[in-house]
Amino acid sequence: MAIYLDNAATTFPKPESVYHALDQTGRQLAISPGRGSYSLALEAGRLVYEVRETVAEFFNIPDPSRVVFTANATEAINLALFGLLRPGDRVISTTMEHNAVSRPLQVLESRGIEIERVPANTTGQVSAAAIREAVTNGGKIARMVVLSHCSNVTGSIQPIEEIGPWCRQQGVLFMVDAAQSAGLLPIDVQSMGIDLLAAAGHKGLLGPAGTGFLYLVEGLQPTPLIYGGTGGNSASPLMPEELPERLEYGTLNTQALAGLQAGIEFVRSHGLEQIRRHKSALLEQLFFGLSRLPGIRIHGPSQVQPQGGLLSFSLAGQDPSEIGFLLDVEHDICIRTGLHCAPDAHRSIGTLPAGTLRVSPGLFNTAADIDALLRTMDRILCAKSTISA
Amino acid sequence: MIADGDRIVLFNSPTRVMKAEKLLRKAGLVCQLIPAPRQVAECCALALRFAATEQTAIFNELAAANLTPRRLYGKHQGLLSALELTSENE
Ligand SMILES: Cc1ncc(COP(=O)(O)O)c(C=O)c1O
Repeated sequence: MAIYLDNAATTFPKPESVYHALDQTGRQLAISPGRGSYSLALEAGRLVYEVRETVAEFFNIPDPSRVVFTANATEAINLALFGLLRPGDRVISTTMEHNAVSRPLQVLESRGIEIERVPANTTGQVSAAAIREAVTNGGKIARMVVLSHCSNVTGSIQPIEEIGPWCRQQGVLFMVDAAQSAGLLPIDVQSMGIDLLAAAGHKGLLGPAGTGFLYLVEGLQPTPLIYGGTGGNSASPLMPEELPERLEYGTLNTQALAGLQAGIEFVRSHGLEQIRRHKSALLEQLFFGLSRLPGIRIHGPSQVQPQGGLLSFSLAGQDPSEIGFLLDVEHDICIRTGLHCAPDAHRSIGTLPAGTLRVSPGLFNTAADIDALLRTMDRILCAKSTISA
Repeated sequence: MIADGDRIVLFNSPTRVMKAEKLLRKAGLVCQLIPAPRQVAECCALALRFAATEQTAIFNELAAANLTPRRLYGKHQGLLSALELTSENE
């Protein structure tokens, strides 16, 4: 059996209850919600509404109709950025962003939107003070601050609980990419002043691939990115004004959403605290095991600082991709190597162009998995030094 | 589908109808989702049907949740007609 340690990309395996929900809904109710009005379609519509409620409750979102389902975090981020930003707007982001944020911003920059990227320190941390300064700097207050809650490269956690309420006071939109933090760190859109929350359903929330969502605070009305059928208002030539339909085009994936609901319920019943403790224990074990290796550099926050569910490292004189290849081919261990879709973040921590090796344990990994990884690393490095000696 | 003395309300989004149905059922109020009759279906394909006697209770519940319907219709002597959107209609 492979040892899967790439849960920051997508969690695998999922809890049994998620497979069960996918199977049951797939067999009994995998039909188009919000379209027909026969009983089965209504049943599917109710189910999807319940998933909206589950998401809303989990993030303390006051109104479930402000939760727009998407295929992944990337789609949610694109819906918000392209739907709301206009030429002349000034946007503050950071140098730690995933391509899901930095590429849309790059395109928007060429369309007359001013982007300022606040630099992170070498551990991947961005300070709230630097964000505040950037917002008010430049003669004109920024329209939006957008950043990832937790870096997918270093696991650094940004102080969103400090930035959000301040942005709200200043009348600046605050958008959080919670792809890495949803299901791991507590997120409360009200107390944290979050106006836009984009998340994947298939990572920490334990749902299947093909799920994600965007939350938009009351009053925001983005232009849709894609136009088409929405269930209601069929006679109108235009997309409806109301959320979520305005931004949810085409047939929703009832089955996958049922899986997402089961995933969130699993997270809720185990509690974020316990999930975090489990992952942190494995990461700590990994950290101390790796510290013994010659030429090791661990990137990101130190062990005493809070961090997300992953650890990135590199080895002097070694190509991460080669180590990753050997771990996989010879020992069936899956970890991530390279840039993890976030070149800016690597530039910030000084790991371009090779990138890092990234280990992200899941809920079902054990201490034995980390031991196996550490033993194998030892063996690979030992064999390599013998060959090169 | 709609009997004399029934009322139907339409919302402007399928999600809002689902929300309204759930809320009303939780409050113990009797209502039923039905396909909106073709002459009134322009704003949503689904309608929520209830008895005229429940109208006040239902409207109060919806108003408390900030879920005002877009339109209200009543059936009288076999004819469906638009009614003013208030919690009571004679
Ligand atoms: C920080 C961050 N943002 C966005 C994404 C994109 O998520 P998705 O693959 O669901 O679109 C990821 C996932 O890799 C991520 O780590």
